[in-house]
Amino acid sequence: MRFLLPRAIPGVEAVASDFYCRTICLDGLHGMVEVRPVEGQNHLLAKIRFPKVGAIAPIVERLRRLFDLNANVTEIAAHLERDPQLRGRVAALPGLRVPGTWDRFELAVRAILGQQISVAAATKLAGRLVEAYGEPLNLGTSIETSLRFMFPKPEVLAIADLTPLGLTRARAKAISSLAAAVAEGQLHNFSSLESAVQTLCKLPGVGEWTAHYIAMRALREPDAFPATDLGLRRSLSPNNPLTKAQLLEMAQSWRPWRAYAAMYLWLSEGLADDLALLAEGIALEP
Amino acid sequence: MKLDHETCYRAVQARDRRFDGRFFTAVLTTKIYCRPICPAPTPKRENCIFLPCAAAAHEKGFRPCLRCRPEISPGLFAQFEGAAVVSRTLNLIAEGALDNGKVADLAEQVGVGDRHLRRLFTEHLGASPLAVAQTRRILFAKQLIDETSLSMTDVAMAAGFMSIRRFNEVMQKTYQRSPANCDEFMLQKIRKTHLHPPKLR
Ligand SMILES: [Zn+2]
Repeated sequence: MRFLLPRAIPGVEAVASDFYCRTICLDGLHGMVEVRPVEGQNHLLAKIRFPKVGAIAPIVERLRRLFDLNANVTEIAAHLERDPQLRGRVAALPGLRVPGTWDRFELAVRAILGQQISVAAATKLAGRLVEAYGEPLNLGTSIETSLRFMFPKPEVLAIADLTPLGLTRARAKAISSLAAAVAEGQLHNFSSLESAVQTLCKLPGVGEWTAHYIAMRALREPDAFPATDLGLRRSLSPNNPLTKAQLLEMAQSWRPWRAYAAMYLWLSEGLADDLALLAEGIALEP
Repeated sequence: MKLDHETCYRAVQARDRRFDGRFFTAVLTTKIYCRPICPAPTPKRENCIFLPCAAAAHEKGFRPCLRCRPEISPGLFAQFEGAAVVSRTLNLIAEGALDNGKVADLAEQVGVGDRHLRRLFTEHLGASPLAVAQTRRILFAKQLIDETSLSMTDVAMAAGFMSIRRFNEVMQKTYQRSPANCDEFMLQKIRKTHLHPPKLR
């Protein structure tokens, strides 16, 4: 939640320290989900409002991925603890997971929006995008909620002019290219992390950092690792940031769980909120 | 990480939570399988076999324990170290790839041959892709029966069964009782709430 909170998209998601709520769209139908931890128990409770009961299994599965509940956290922690540089950080944050996303496209758009600006600024832009291009929430019945929109569809964003919303021309082009690729089903399935990163990097405005970030959170690749990230390069050597090559060398022993190592490094630097500023902002894209 | 028989047995004796979800204990005498944390008395060493996933137990004809409830085990279909193809395939199965589709198409999607995929599944999970898909449906249905207010018809649909008849057959065979009687007590308790809240682990 600490990670999701500052990134909540206004109108689509509502997040508090013990609560996550959002609108969902499946097969053209609208719904809403609410997830909260159960105090003193090792599970989350989900309330699902959706008109079609047959959709419950895929909805639950997508929620499991959003909260990374399929991760083998004990095994991952045991593996990463072998590196003395990570040991303390792993012990300090037991059971850490890599937050995923409800919707891959939404996360990818969010990642591009966040390039080189603060989390707060990116969140504001995301809110405007949703208000301008998202379908209004339609649940059939009226319920009290601040959530009013679906996240815009790729087909819509592929042909929308986003510059009036305050996006730079390059960023607007990056998003419409991504949207077009998703609408054509190009970013559907990858046989490996390498092929995913390679394909993503071919899109304008998507560099190595964004590609790995999307792979990590949207594609659930446990070994994705944005090695160009300044926060990561600094975290193990504060005064003299490591080069990308040095960091990659060091990260060899963290495989195949480098995404988890990245989360430990980001969060233990106290970068929970600013993390994105470092990660999404300062890590410059080509 | 491969777990040996002795490590597993000691984990079961200690009901060690750290192992919950990492293997299941199938008991040869009762034909029931359990989570490592099951509160029931520990079976004799020679009567236990240890399996990497619930589907392996189903495929070998073991039934899920009603006390420790394998359907709510953590990491039921978790990622597997060193087998990215298996993890990726498990994700697609979770999205319902085998509810209508074929294993061959699934294999193509993850970029390997049909037979190779089956071999990887046997090696890492001890179960075929189809058994994994079926086990998911059964366990998810059981969880919905216990924890939500859905009708049996809705549970069958929600869990991805093609027909209510098939659902009844499979649940009858697995739990040796009709789905409606699976956990009458739990069901009544939960019926008081009107939304459907499955628990996520
Ligand atoms: Zn048991």
